[in-house]
Amino acid sequence: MTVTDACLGKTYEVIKVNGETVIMRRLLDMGFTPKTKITVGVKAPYGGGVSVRLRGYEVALHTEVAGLIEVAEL
Amino acid sequence: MKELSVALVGNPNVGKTSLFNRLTRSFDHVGNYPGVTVTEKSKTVSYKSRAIKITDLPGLYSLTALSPDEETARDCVLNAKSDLVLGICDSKCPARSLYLMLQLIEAGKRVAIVFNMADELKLIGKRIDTKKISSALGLPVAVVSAKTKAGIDEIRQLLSDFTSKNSVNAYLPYMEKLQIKKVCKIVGGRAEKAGLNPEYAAIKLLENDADVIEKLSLSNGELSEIRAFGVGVAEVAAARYEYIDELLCGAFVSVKKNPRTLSAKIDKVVLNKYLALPIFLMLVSGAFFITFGLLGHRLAEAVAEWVTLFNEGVLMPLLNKTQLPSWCVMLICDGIVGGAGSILAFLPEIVLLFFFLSLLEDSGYISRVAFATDGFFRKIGLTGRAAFTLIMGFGCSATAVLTARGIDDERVRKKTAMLTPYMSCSAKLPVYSMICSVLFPRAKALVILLLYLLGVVVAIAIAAFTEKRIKRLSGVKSKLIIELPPYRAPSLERVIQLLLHHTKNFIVKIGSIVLALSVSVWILSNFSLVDGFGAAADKSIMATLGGILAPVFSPLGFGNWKAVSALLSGIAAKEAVVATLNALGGVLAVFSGKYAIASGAAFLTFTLLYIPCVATVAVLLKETGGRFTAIVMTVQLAVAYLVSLFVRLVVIAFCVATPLAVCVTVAVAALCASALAIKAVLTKNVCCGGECAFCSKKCKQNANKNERIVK
Repeated sequence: MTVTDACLGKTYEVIKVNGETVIMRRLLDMGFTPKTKITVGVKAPYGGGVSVRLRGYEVALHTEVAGLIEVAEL
Repeated sequence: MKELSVALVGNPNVGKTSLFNRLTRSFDHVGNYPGVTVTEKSKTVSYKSRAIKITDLPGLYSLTALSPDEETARDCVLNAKSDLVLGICDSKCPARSLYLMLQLIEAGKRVAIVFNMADELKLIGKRIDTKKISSALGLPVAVVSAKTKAGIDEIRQLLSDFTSKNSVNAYLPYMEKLQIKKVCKIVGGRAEKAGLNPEYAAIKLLENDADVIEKLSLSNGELSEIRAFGVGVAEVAAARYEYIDELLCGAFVSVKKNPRTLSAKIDKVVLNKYLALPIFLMLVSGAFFITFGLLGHRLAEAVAEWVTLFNEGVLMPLLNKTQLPSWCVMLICDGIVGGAGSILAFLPEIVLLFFFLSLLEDSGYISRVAFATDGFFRKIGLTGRAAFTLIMGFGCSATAVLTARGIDDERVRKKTAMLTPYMSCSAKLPVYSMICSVLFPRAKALVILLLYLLGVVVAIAIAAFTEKRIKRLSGVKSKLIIELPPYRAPSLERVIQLLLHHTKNFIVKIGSIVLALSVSVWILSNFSLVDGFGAAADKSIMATLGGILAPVFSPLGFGNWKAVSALLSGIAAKEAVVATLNALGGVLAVFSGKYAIASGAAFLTFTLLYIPCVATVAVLLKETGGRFTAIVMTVQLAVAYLVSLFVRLVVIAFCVATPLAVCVTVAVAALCASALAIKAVLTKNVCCGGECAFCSKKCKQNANKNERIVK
């Protein structure tokens, strides 16, 4: 499953990041590496994305970006 | 001792500029969102008789750059001959910050690590063991708080004691695991020739960094040999983070149980589907009514009174006693004090506007606005990141256009830069304030709010139009990845600094460019080519010049030379419009006749939308190129003319017909238009058809229906 299928407020573990190199690179740089624990926060009020908490900070991801991150339930 | 050059490097929004300001005692623009700093800035200070040149750089996540401002920062870091890199880390998320530090160490830089925002570390109940990190990496490590000044002196001490000898090259254990040595064997010699650290070149090659591949000019055979090791971007990143996690395991420890969830709670309300828009509108209009209605207006009146009192009570009698010629006395009293001085009255309103703007920036709310609006912006060919630039446009268009650099997609960047001047900048505020006080005394704040809204609406309309008819950007490659910083209350110290800073800037601007303009306007409008000083104003040089262009503006209701001269002087600086109008006899002398209100409204609209000041044009030229800037200017003029004409007609209709009938028509028209717009925007909604957190219930029902139809 990917972050787009995730439930709001739950914590998951990253398996890997798929996708285009540029965005994949940015996600890896920001710490979306395997086994990282991430918590899905809130959804953008008018669609378009979701916020995710990891490694002590929070980041807003566009839906398509969220779809690149494969996660597993803990 | 030789001058020491130090570069501040770190992730976006970790407080590099705040620290720079502390270390150099300056006041550069900071904000609680990523990407405020877009160009490098240096300042030399001396500490304990040692000259230290400190350079502040834009933020970076990695040494592989993805946007122009990141490229600038990366090139500065890699090419600069800085003796020492101060690696600024966010104490709250040390892992992500250290990731960049490891890359700096790989690149062979001398690094000292500084954990900033130590004050917030306490709030989340954590502690950083600097000794452990320092001994593991073999680097100096310090903890500071730029906000409370704690630890700043230690940094100064560290800098003044620094010599290139007392730093050792750090040992990075993961380099072995990544088989760096094997890669080095292949490319080592060539990397040294290209002036790169072999190990750095090797790891960048594994990461497939285009910049390094180009520098080393590798053959395809060599590249595939390197790829055969089976180590790529993902593996390198994972190895770095694994090492960081190990490092932090004993060094980043909880002191008490995580108590802070305030940001998350606020987000739940602020980003709620039904509350988000009302909250945003309430905050913005609240700020407006305080700035223009309640507080600002009274303060402005008080200052205006002082200026008049000073002018008539002190200055005039004093000058009359001297033997100066009468035109000279008039020049000082009318031209200088009456022109430039009259703008001083708007100082309170401008300072208040910047105060609210900085609240928006410092609190962290602006990032949520970008996040919430991304979906909408995407439909008109922009991204949520544009919200930063556009909101900054309410302060100063010129600096706002610069911040567009942080947008990674070039077309979106240009489009954002193009729309920024439509956001009504603070310099236009005195114009609104002055004209509205005279023509709409009872509805001043409301009219000004409408003007700001009009600017936003026009910008959105232009964005939507270009997206639909000219260039579709919907396939924009840049996907939103924005940090959401925690909410923060601004400190009193910062608020005071900010008020002083903007007061100073405003007074300097009035004292220089506006003063020069108002003096020349005064001279041009009081001297005639034929009669010299004292000629009737209608025969002055200004009247002759303005008269040529005046007929063009007749349809807009202000086809007189005074209004035209005011607009012309506004191209140099918008505040000059006020100075010019004052010098030419005030608002009522310019807008007269039966429909003075309509002409005034059209003039205000034109001021809002026409060509921005020269400073903004210069920045646009530099950032987007000559051809694009020319197109932008032409479009602005055309739009300004058409919209002003429309506004004038509406106001005239309002005066002629019974107000109620017009109100109803306008309201119905506006409702229809917005309903159509919303419908157009919503119908583009894409649905995944599955069970996901993003699709609404309605969307799922539609998907089910479609399935049934297919069956």
